[in-house]
Amino acid sequence: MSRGIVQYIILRALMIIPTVLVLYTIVFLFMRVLPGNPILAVVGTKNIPPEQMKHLMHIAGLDKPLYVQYFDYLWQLLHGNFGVTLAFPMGVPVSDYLKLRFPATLELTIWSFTISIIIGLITGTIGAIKKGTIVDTSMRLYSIIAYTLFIPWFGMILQYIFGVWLHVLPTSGRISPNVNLHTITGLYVLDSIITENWPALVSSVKHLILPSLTLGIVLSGAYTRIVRNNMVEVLNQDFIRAYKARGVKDWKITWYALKNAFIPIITLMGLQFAILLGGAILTETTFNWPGMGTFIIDRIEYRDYNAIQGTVVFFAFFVGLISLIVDLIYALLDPRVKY
Amino acid sequence: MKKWVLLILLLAAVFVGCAQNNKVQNKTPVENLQKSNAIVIGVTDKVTDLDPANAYDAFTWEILENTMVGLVKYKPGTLKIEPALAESWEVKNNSTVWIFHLRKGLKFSDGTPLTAKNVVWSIERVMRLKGDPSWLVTDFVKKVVAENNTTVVFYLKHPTSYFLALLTTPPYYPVNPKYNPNKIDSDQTAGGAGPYKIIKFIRGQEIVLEANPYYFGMKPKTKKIIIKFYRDATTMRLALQNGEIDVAWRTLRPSDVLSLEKSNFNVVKVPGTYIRYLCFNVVKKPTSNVLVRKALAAAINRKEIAEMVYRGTVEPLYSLIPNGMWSHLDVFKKYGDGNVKLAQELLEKAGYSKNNPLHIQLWYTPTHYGDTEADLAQMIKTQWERTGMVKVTLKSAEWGTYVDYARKGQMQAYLLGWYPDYLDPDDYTTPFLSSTANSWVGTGFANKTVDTLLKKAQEIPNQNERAKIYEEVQKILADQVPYVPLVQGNLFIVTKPNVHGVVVGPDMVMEYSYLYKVS
Amino acid sequence: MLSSFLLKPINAIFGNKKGRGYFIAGLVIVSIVVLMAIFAPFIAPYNPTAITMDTFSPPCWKHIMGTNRLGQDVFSRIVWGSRIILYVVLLASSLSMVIGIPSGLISGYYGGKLDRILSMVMDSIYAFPALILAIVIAVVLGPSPINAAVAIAFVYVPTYFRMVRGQTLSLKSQLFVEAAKAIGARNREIMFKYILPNLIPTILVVFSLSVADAILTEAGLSFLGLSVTPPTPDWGYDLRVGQAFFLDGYWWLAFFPGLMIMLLAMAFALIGEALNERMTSR
Repeated sequence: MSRGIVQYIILRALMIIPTVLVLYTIVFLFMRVLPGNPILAVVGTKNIPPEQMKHLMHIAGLDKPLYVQYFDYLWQLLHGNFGVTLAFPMGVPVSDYLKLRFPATLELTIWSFTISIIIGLITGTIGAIKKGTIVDTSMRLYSIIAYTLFIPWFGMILQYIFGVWLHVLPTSGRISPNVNLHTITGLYVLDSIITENWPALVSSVKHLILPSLTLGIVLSGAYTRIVRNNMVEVLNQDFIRAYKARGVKDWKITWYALKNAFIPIITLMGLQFAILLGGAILTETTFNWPGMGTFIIDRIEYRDYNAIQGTVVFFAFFVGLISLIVDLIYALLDPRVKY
Repeated sequence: MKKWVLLILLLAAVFVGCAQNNKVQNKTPVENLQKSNAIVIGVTDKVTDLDPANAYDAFTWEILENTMVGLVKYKPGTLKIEPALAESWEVKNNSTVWIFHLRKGLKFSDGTPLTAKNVVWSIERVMRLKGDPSWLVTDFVKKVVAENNTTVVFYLKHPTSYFLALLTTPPYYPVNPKYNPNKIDSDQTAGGAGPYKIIKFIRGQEIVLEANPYYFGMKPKTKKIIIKFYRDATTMRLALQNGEIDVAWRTLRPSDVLSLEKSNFNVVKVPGTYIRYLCFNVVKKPTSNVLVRKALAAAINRKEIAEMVYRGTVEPLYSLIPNGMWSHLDVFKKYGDGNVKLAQELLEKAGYSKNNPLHIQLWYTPTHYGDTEADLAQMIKTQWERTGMVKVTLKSAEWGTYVDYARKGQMQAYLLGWYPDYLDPDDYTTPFLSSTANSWVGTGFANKTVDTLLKKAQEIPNQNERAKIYEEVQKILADQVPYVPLVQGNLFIVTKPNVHGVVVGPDMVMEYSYLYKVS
Repeated sequence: MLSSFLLKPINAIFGNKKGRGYFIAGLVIVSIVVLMAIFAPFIAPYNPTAITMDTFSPPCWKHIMGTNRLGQDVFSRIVWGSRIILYVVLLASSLSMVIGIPSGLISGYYGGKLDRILSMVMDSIYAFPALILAIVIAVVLGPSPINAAVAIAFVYVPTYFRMVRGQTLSLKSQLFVEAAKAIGARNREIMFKYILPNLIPTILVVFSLSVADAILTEAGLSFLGLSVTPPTPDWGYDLRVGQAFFLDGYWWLAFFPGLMIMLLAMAFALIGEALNERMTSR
C-alpha cells in the first residue's frame, strides 16, 4: 500500500478522538447540572444516616470537584477503563455491561441492516428501472411511509399480529429460557452455529425476526431512496446505453448497473449508521432486547454517571469507527477518490 | 448472492426447527416429567448486590432469603417467628442481651461447616462494610460474640423488643466464608445455608437456583428454579402467555392481572405490606396550615383511586400502619372518602374560596412506582379540584432528582411508597414521625409527644402495651396530617394452571421451596 | 372555484406534474393537523383530561375513537395532542434554525479557526444518534414541552449548520459576492442580504425533512415519558400507556396516537420530498 493510504487511515482515525471528546463533554456537563445523583437514586427513601451517605459518595468519587471528576474519568477512558457503575448495583465495571450488551445490539443492527439493504435494493432498483411510472411513484411512497413509521407503534402491531393473534413468533428477548447456549462471541446465531446447538439456532433466529423486521423495514425507507437515485444516475450513463444498443438482456443490464452503483450506495448507507443506532434504541425498548439501548435507558433513571458517559463515549467511538471503515472502503474501491 | 443463500438456509432451518419442535411436544410423558424438575419464574425487578451487606431492595432480599437463612425466620405465610439456624434463645437485661443456641451439624451450601464464629464473622462484616442496609445492624447491635461453637450472644445498644423481627432480615444472615471480607461482593454466588444454592447468575438475564443438599430444613419440592429478568410487565406477560415462563411474579400491572385471570391462568392474591401515601411539607406554606392538610385529606377518594387507577388490585388504607398488622386503626376514616363538603368547609376556614383558590403543586415520580403513577397523580388532582377551591399543578421528576428534592424539603405535596424493612409497627411509624429519623422524607414533622411515645414503644417488650402506644400515635397522625395514607398493595402471582405451592408471606417474599408443577 | 384558487400557487411552483401530488397530499394532512390544533376547543367533543367512569369504550358513535383507561375520549386527546406536538416540533425547529443558520453562514463565510472548531463540534453531534443525545438532555432537564423542544433543537442544529455552511462555502466565491464586495458592502450585509436569500429554497427542503424527523424524535421522547407531564394530552405518551392494553384487545388506545404520529411525519416528509424534487429537477 502506498504511503498515501496509510496516512489517510491514521488521519481519519485520529479524527474520531475530537468527536468522542465533544460528546463526552456535552454529556458530562448535562448530567451534572441538575440535582440528584446516583447515590441518592439508590438510597432512595431509605433512612440512611448522613455519615453513611458521605461514605457512599466518597466511594463513588462523587465528592471531588467537578473538573477533577471530568479528567479522572477521561484518564480512565484512555486506559480503556469505563469506570464502575455508581448505582444499582454499585461497583460493577461498566465495560462488563458493555461486553454483555454490545453483541446484542450488534446482532440486532446487523440483521436489521441486512433486511433493510435487501428491501432497499429491491424497491430502489425497481423504482429506478420503471422511473417515472406508477411503479416508481409507489416505490417512493413506500419509502416515505416506511421511514416515517413510528417504531414502537409498528413493532407493537407486528407483535400483536405474529405474537398474539397468530402465535407463531416470540415477542421479546433474544432466546427461549429453556435453551442453553454457550456463548462465545455473544452473537447468538453465530454461537449456535459454532457450537452446533440447533435448538438454540432456531430459537435465536425466531426471536430476531420481529425486531429486525421492524427496524429493517423502517430503515429500508431511507435506503430505497438512496438506491433509486444512485441507480437512476448509473442507468443514464453511456455504457448502459451501449449495452442496450448491443441488445444485452434487461436483467443483465440491471445487474451491471447495480454493481456500479453498489459502492456509493453502501457508503451512503454506512454513513447513516447513526440513524440505525437511534432506531435500535426504540426497537430494543419495544422488544425487551437486552442491548445497549435498553442499558442506557435503565441507567439514566438512576443517574449512573459512569455508565451513561461510558455508553455515550462507546457509541461515539463505534459510530466514528464505522464511518472510518466506510470511508476507507470507498477510498480503496473507488479509483476516482484521491488521497 | 451469498447473502441470499444464507438467508434461505436460515429460513429453512427455522421451518425445519418448527416442525421438530412440534414433534417434541407430542412425545411421551416421560420427557415432560423430566422438564418439570425446573420451574421458571419471571420478574421485572432486578438483582442488585448478591451481598447481604449491601442489598437493600425487595427482590434481591427474596433471592437472599431463599439461598441463605438467619437465626430465626417467619413461619411461611405468617408473622409468626420460628427457629431457623438457632433452635432456642434467651433474652436478658431488659431486652439488651440476646443469647442464641445454634443447631448441631449445620453446613453451608458447599459443605463448609457453619458455626457461631461464621455468624459473628458475617455480622461484623456487615458492620464493617457500612453498606446501605448496615444500619439495621449498627443502629442496634453494640457487640456480637461467639461464646462457643454453637452459642451467639448479642449485646444491644438499647432495649429493642422487636429484635427477632430484625434478625429475619438478610444483613443478619451468615454468609459463606468465600465472601470478600473487605469489599462488597456484588456477584458472589457462594450463598449461605438456605434451601437453595446459586448455580448460575447472568446479570440482567437470569439466575438459576438448585436445591441445597446440606440444608437443615425441608427439602424443596422442585429441584431447580430459573428466574428470568424482564424489562417491563408487557414483555413478561407475553412470555407467560407464550409459555416461556411458569410463574409471573413481580410486577404485573393491574390490567395484566385482570386480563390473565380471564384466560386460563392461576391468579394468586396475597395481601401485601407495601403502602402508598402522600406527604405534606408541614413547614412551608401553604401546606404548613393544618386545615389545608385536613381539607386535602378529606377530598381524597381512596375507593375511586383503587378502582380507576389500580383497577381494584389495592385496598384503601386509612393509617400508616397497614391493614392486618396489630395495632392498626382506621384513623383517617373520620375524614371520609371524597368528602367534598368537609374539604370545602375546612378550606373556607383557612381563608380560601372559589375566587381565591388554593394553589398547590403535587409531585410524583413517573417510573419508579410503575407507570400507574401518573394516573394516580391525575386522579388526586381531579379529586382536589372537585372542591372548586383548589388549583393543582402536577410536577414530576426522575427518581434520583425526586429523592433529592424530598430530602431537601422542596416539594409541597408528593407521592411516595414504602416497603417495610422489618415487620413491626415501628417500621411504619418511626421513619415517618420521629423527628430524629424522618429527615430523609423531608416533611419537617416534629412532635415531642410522638417522639417520646415511639421511643417508649421501642423499649417495652409487652406487645399489648406497645399496641396502645401505637394507637395513640396514629390518632395524632390523623390529627396533624403530615401524611395521608392512600392504599395498600396486594401482590399478585400469576401462574400456569399446573403450578402449585405459591407461598408468599407478609414479608412479601416468595418461598421457592413450596413450588411444584404437575404435568 | 376554491380548488382552482388553491391550486394556482401550487401549480406555479410545481409547473409540471412531478412532485405535485406529494406536495398536495402532505399539505392537506399538515393543514388538517394545524386546524385541529388551532380550533381544538371547538373540534374536540369532550374535555380531554376529564376522568370518567366510561372506560375502555371501543370506537362508536359517541366516541369515534373510543375511550381510554381513565374514561377520556381518545379523539379529543388526539385533537388536543396536536397542539403539543406542533408546539414542541416547531419551537425546536425554530431554535435550531436561529442557532444553526447564522452560525453556518458565519462559519462558512469567515472560515479559519472558528470554522474548523465549529465544524468539528457540529459534525460530532451530527454523527451521533440523535435520539440518544436528546434522551440524555431531556432526562436531565426534566419532563416539559419546552425542555423537550430544547433537547430536540440541540440535536438538529448541526443539520442546518452543515447545509448552510456548505452552501455558503460554494456561494461565497461566486461573482455576485465579488460584485457586492466591490460596491463596498459589509460582510454582514453580504452574508444576510446576498447569500442567505439564495439558501432559502434549500432551507425549506431541509426544514420539511428535519421537521419530519423531529416529529419522530419528539414522539420517541414522549414515548419514554420525557416530554409532557400528564394530564396534558400527548400522542407519544398516550401510545406508550395504551401499549399495555393493546394485547388485551383494547387496540384503539395506542393505535390512533401512533397513526397520527406517522401521518404527520409522513406529511412533512412528502412536502420535503416534493420540494426536493422541484429543486433538483430545476
